[in-house]
Amino acid sequence: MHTEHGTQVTDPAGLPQRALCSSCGRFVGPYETCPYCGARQQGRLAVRVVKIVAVVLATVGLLALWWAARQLPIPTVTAAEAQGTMNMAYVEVQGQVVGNRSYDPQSAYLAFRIDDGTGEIYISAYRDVVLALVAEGRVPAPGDEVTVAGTLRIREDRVSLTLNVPEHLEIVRPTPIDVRAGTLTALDAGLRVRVQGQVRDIFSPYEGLTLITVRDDSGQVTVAVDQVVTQLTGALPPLEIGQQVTVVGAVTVYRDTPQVVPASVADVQIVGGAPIAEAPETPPTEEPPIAEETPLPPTPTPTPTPAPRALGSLSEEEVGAWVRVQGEIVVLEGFSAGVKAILDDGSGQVTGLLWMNLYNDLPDPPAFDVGAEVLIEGEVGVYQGELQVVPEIAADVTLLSPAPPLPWVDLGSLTAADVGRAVRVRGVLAPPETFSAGQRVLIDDGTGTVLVILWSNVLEELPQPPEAGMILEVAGMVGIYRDTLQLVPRTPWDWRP
Amino acid sequence: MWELLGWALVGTVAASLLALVPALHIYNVAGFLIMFSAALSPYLPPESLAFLFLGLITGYAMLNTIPSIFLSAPDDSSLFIVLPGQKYLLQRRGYEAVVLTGIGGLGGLLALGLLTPFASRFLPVIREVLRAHMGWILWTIIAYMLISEWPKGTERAPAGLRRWWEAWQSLTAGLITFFLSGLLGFVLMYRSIVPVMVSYQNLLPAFVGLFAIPWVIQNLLARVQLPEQHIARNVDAPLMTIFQGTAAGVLGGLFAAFFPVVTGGIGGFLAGHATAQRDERAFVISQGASKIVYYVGGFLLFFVPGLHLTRGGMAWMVSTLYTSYTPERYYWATAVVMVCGVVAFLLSLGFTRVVIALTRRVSYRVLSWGTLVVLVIVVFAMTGVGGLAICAVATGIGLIPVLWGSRRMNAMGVLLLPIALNMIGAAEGVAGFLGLL
Repeated sequence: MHTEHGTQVTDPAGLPQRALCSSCGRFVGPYETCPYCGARQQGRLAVRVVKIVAVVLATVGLLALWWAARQLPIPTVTAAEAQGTMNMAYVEVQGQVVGNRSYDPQSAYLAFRIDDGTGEIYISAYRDVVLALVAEGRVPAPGDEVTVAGTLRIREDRVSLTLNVPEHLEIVRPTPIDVRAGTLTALDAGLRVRVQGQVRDIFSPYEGLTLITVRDDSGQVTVAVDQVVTQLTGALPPLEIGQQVTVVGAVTVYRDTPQVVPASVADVQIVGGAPIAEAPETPPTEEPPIAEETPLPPTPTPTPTPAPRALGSLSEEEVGAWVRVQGEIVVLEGFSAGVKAILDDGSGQVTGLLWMNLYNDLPDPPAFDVGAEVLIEGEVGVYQGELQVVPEIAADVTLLSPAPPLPWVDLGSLTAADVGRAVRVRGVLAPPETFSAGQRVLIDDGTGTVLVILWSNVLEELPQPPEAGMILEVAGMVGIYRDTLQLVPRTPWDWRP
Repeated sequence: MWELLGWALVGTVAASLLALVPALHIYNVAGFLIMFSAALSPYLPPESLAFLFLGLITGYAMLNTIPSIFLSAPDDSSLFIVLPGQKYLLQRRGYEAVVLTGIGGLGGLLALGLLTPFASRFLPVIREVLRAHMGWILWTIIAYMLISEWPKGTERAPAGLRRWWEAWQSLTAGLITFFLSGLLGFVLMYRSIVPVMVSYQNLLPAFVGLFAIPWVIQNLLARVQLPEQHIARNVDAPLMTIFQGTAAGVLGGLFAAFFPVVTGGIGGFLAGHATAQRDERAFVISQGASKIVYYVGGFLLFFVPGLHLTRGGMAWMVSTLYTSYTPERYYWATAVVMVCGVVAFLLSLGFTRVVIALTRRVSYRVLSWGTLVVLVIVVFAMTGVGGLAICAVATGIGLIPVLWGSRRMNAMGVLLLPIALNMIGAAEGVAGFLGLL
């Protein structure tokens, strides 16, 4: 092995005078005293002095440097100030957490972005730092105001900072502002809000992301619960459509559309229900791990349900508004994609438009018929000058009193005066006949016959298609075409083999 | 494309000249360029700057052997060349030592070229495999570094404690050096007094103090007189020796280039242990290969598509302005390095003659004082008064192994200790204990 020693001149040729003893002239090299004659060599700096200086510098100097370093505050920089020459600096940055976070529990990696008003800075943490933050329940969420100190990394395309010490992350979670779902805009991005409303839809576009549509009377907003939230704070409970929930979260923008991103699954609370438990790995703490500017009320209180609007008070100016109406179904007719029910509450009439999938989801679709008293929540729309209220989900339709059964009629008694009536008949089918928009089939009840028209949208949904000799009950609207009476089932539910 | 080669050749020639300035590290020169990169950008776009840096690092890695051998002013990666280099020097064979390291450097370049077709396929895999093992590998290196040093003594001291101390003082000094430099590393990592605007040079004063200045002080104390140098027409190196030295150097250099925190000095240390006991010529060649592979190969990793590996100061500086994405750029960078390496080798032969002529006319003592002044000016210019203070403390620590005869490599504790503790999650506790959080 090669060892290191002080440099020694071993070749006598060209030796300087200083390397020779001033008394006897023999080679003394670095000796202070000649080993041959004992003469003390003049003009040499004692190695002992150098040793003392080295030790003093290495110890006292290091202590002084340590002391001086401790007195220095960590410098604060902004994204705009950060530049290449600051690479690897230990600095502090402040800003609001924006966008999605990345978290990998396997490798214990956490990353998020903050915006300090001058630009964005990517914060990342690894291994033990992440484990400590997760254990302490101090993982920043979108909307949080954070102060982070760490090692600055400047890249061509971004400024990033590595958090080396859990204590160098301070989080302040702003107090949420109560807002109505429909009032949120992209300009609210970054605000921490609280929305109360009804779960309208639960959708998972891909594994790890759950989108919950929450609606109140002002409109709707999407609540985005990504994998990071569930990994860090536990699983979402099986929410059901129609449940009233309160959601606290930060407003973020996805494709110009605002959405609410909760920091924890505990921020999604079922109104009147028990709050969703925190993740089991989060230990209970006396102090909340993340400081809230003002503590939240523990249990959300249900918002009082507004009284139904008088139908006569609705106007085209309210198109797009969410309303709640009540009335009796005076007419129910089918169309290619659903049914239209004309409601009457005495003050006016409005069409309730139910898409077929929604109608099928009703607890008892045949009970939603002429004579039923219903309560409908929906969006106001206008179609061909006709005011409509369009519910979104089956929970928007409440059957206050079911429709009485449709009247039985003998086919022989049907006349042109019955056109527009909803009736029921029973009889035997003749062979069906196909035409361009569906099938027609003659039904005979012994007193007479009538042509039953099955439009293709109804025909395709029938549990049992028509065939000759089939005995069944058929409900529908009486119509007339080229002086011939017809019975037109409005939905597949009118076809009762 | 040819413009990029042009910039790289400019860098090579510039670095070859600058490498002759004792203890002026090419990272300092690149640092100045980064400082003025915004102003230079109309003439020197980021990609051209990256290739200029490629030329700079290649030229520097090849020619910094000259001041290391002739002026004993090494950086941490050429630490192990100094002693065998001086041995050659005092045998009037300094020129030959430069040529041997140059041969090692050319071998290192050849190895880098041969690795190019496989690098983008295998290195990302190796990186993923090693990712989870970095901590214990680093601690193994530290352990090997510390326990591979043996007690030294003349056995002439009186028996008992004094004899024990004579043998063990170098070991004790080594451990103290490692510990003190590690503490210095903690201070620099968490609360450096270097101004935040020049943090990218945070380690410069420490490295100059730990490695360069102690050599210069030693030269001043030892009053070395250089003998007349012989310009040899051939070198004493059989092919097998060249192969052995190059292979060991390439392995050490690759390890240093690929592994975080492990610098060229440690790579050279490992390469040295693989060769020194066999043949001193192989040792010198291995140091040349290791140095080139560490500096140039480490920077080339920055160009490997899909690897996203930033190793070494040069890559860190360039990464603030430029990112390479395509295989085509990587192949081009490798080709440029080959050309620049050969040019630098040829330049090293001429410049060695220049330095020999210089040392004939100017006394070694004057050159040493000049080197010291240059070092202090560089540190002050880059990092200010704070940097000088760090440099002074680091010099004190760097002198301990010089004065007590232990391995200077222990001063690498400045990087190894904080990073290795960080990798096992203990750095935070130590920093907290030191009140640096």
